[in-house]
Order: sequence, then C-alpha cells, then structure tokens
Amino acid sequence: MIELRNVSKSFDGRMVLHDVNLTIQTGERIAIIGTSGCGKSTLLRLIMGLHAPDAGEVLIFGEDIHRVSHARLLKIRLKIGILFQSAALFDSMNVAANVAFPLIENFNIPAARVIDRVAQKLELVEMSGFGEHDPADLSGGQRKRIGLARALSGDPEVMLYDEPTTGLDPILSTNIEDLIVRLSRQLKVTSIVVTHQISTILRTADKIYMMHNGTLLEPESPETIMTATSIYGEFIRGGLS
Amino acid sequence: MFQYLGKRIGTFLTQLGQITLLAGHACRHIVLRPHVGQVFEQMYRLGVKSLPITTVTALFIGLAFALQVVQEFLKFGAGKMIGGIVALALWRELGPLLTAVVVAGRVGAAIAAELGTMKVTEQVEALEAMGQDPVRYLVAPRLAASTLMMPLLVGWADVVGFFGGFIIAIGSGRVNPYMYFESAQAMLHVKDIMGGLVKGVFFGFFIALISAYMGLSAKSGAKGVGEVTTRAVVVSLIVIFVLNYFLSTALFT
Ligand SMILES: Nc1ncnc2c1ncn2[C@@H]1O[C@H](COP(=O)(O)OP(=O)(O)OP(=O)(O)O)[C@@H](O)[C@H]1O
Ligand SMILES: [Mg+2]
Repeated sequence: MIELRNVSKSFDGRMVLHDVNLTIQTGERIAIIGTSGCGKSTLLRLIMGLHAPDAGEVLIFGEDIHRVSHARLLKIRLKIGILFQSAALFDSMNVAANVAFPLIENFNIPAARVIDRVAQKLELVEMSGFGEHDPADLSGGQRKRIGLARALSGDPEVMLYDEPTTGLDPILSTNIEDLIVRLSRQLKVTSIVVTHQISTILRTADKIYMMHNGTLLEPESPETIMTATSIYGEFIRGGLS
Repeated sequence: MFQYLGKRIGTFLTQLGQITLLAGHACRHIVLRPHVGQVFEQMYRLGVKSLPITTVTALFIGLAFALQVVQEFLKFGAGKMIGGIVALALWRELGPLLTAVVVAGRVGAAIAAELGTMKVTEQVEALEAMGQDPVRYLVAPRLAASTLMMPLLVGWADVVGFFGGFIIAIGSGRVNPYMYFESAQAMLHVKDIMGGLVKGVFFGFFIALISAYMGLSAKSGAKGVGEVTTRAVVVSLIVIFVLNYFLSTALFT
C-alpha cells in the first residue's frame, strides 16, 4: 500500500506539488493525468524517494521512506519498479546487461537464471533478440520497452510507469497496456501510470486522478471520464485552456 | 562588489564542503563495501587505457629535457652527471606532474563527461531506483582506480622518460652509456622514487574526486555537461600544480 499525506514540493522557491494526498491499495491500478510540467514525474520520484518532500509523508508498505535510513530506503526500493519517462537506460551497457542489472546487483541469482529471466522479460516487451544491441542504437519506443523490461526484471510489487506508451504504435501500445493489466491481475502488482494517451488511461486504470494546480483532484472512473462535465472531461476532450 | 565577492566565497566554501563529504562517503565505500567489479573495470578504463598517451608524452619529455641537459652539461664537462640529472628531474617533478596533466585531460574529462551525462539523462536516478548508491557504484570505483593506477602510470612515465634521455645521451656520441645509468644509480635515492609515486597517489585521488564531483553537479542540457567537463579539467590542473609545489616542499627539501 502506498500513501501520500499532505505532500508538498517546490523547486527553487516555485511550488510544484501542494498538499497532495493519495492512497493506493495493493493491486490497485491508477492513472495520473495532467498538463505538461504540472508535476507528475515529480510525484513518481517522491514515491521512489528520489526527491525528498518539503512537507508531508510518503508511506510505502507502512514505512515513511523519507524518515528511514538510506540503507533501508535502498531495500524498500527493490520492491518498486520504475519506468522513467526518458527510459534512462545505461548507455555504457548493452540491452541484456541493462535488464540484468537489478538482478545481478541486488539479488543473488545464478548466471543461468539471470539469462533466462532477461530473455523472459525481453519477450514480455516484444524485444527478444535485442539483447546484444546498444541502447544508443534503439528507437525511442524500443528504449521505452527495454526500460520497462528492466523495471520488471526484479519482479516488483509496485510499478510506476511514466508515459509507458508514448512513442509506440497503436498495436504495441495496446500490448503494453495489456501487459500492465495482466501484471496487476496475475501478480497483484500495484501500478501508477502517468500518461497522456487516452487509450492507456481508459484501458489500464481503475481510477483516474488529475493533477491540477499542484494537487490531485477527486478521482474519476474510466467509464464516466469521457462524458464527465468536470475539468476531467474538458482535459480529456482537449478543451482545457 | 563585496556582496558579489561574499557570494562567490560562500559558493566556494559550500562546494568545498560538498567535495569533502563526497570524499568521505566514497572512501567509506572503498574500505567497507567496495564494488570490486567496477573497481577493476575502472582500473582498466582509467589506468591501462592511459598507457599509450602517457608513454608518448613521457618519451618526448625525456627526449626534449635530455637534449637541453646534454648540450649544457657537455659544455662544462659534466657529461658524467647527465643520467643522474635526467633521472632526478623525471622522478621528482616531470614524471608525476606531466603524467598528472595528461591524465587530468583524459581521465578527468572522461569521468566528468560520463557522470555528467548519466546525471542529466536520469541514469543516476535509475541507479538509485534500483537500490544502488551512486557514490558506491560510480564515484568510489573511479576514485579507487585512479588513486591506484596513477602512481603506476607515473612510475612507467619515469622509466620511459629516462629511456628517452638515454637515446639522446648516447646519440650525442659523447656520453658513456654505462655512465648514464651509473650516475642515475648514484644520484637517485629511494626517497626520490617513493616521493614521485606518492605524488602520483595524491594527483590520482584529486583528479578523480574533483571530476566526479563536477560530473554529478551537471545540470540538464548538453551545455551543462560540456561546462562541468571543462571545469573538471581546469580545477584539476590548478589543484595539481598547487599541490605539486607543496608536495615537493614536503617530500624533497
Ligand atoms: N530537479 C528539478 N529541479 C528543478 N525543477 C524541477 C526539477 N524536476 C522538476 N522540476 C520542475 O517541476 C515541474 C514539474 O516537473 P515534472 O517533470 O514533474 O512535470 P510532468 O508533469 O512530469 O511534465 P511532463 O508531462 O511534461 O512530463 C516543472 O516545472 C519542472 O521544471
Ligand atoms: Mg514527466
């Protein structure tokens, strides 16, 4: 379970998040939408403990990750996978080494099993056979999928997806959306999906939150959001000024 | 004016504090929980791969320096001392200093650019997200490798430079090859050799520390990486020259 209590964060004196409250139950899937630059990626970083909040608490499995020791924080992070908006692949390593990285560094897994696991995750994101490639030689969408495979390689209990389907064609997009849903159905993976893509919002989330003026609005459901008269409807239909 | 100066001094002191903290943090990891694989990889990348450029530099420094020494010393009939003078100059000053300059350019720039790029492309955050401490994974191995490899490079540069001097000396046709080595043996003491290597240890440590700090302080954008890379090399060079003076004072007087 993830809980944010009255979380605020500013950069250089400019408030980005203001008094954000959010509770996510185990296995739940939520989507976060909002205008570019409103603080969605910042929210994911706070949950990962990569930024410290100026005020408030971030509870992951009941622990306030900004109060625990650094060593403990590193341990907690192992249960969370994050797909960065930019994919953030290590360009000093090939694709297979990227996907294997969390396994090799964090878990004592024999080499043969690491190879199996890497192949399995690459297949999941439809990138089999790309293990020997350098990240620099991949397209944006391919990098994204490798980033996803890497985030999933440690079998996390929580997944944070920052724009998982941006840059993918409609078919791949659908497959990744299915993957997100499947992970949560089969493995109870809790997921937070930040996205601008309407199909992804509708197909992956049980609840949709909109970030507006630094806070999260009351959530909408995918069934009603398209016809909602609230700010959600306006945003989704492109009418928000 | 005073406000500006005060602000600059404030920034400088803050950075000095941050560098000291980074050094402490990295050294703790080197001693307590080193990432052995990364240390070896960096020893190869920072040390072994610096061999060619170090060799060429040292050879030509040896040649050029000996050229002067041979000319002048023969005038005074002091040909017997040439080997010793070349050896002393190389081991005490030229070897450590010029190797450090070359390594600051190659290794310092590489560290700053690599860590800077990793910082601005979220790779450092990705490391943290995967439960790794970037200081342990990125900074400590580079610091350890540079500190270990630098004295070896210095020693190698001394040998190569001395050999360069030898070529010039016998090339002149007026220096006895045996005398060249014998005078070096007589004039060069263990203290000089150790002193030169100790300099290498310090230079290696500071080049890696300064460059890693600069790299991790990079701000978004390619301009940010370019800027910190330049600054890493410039600051490293200044620190090397200042430090060299004090080390020479402490070690050789
Ligand atoms: N490390 C940082 N230092 C300074 N400002 C930052 C930093 N990270 C984010 N910001 C600022 O915080 C704001 C929110 O950024 P964030 O990346 O969270 O937006 P976003 O909602 O993810 O946008 P997008 O949809 O374009 O990805 C932006 O104005 C950005 O400039
Ligand atoms: Mg973002």
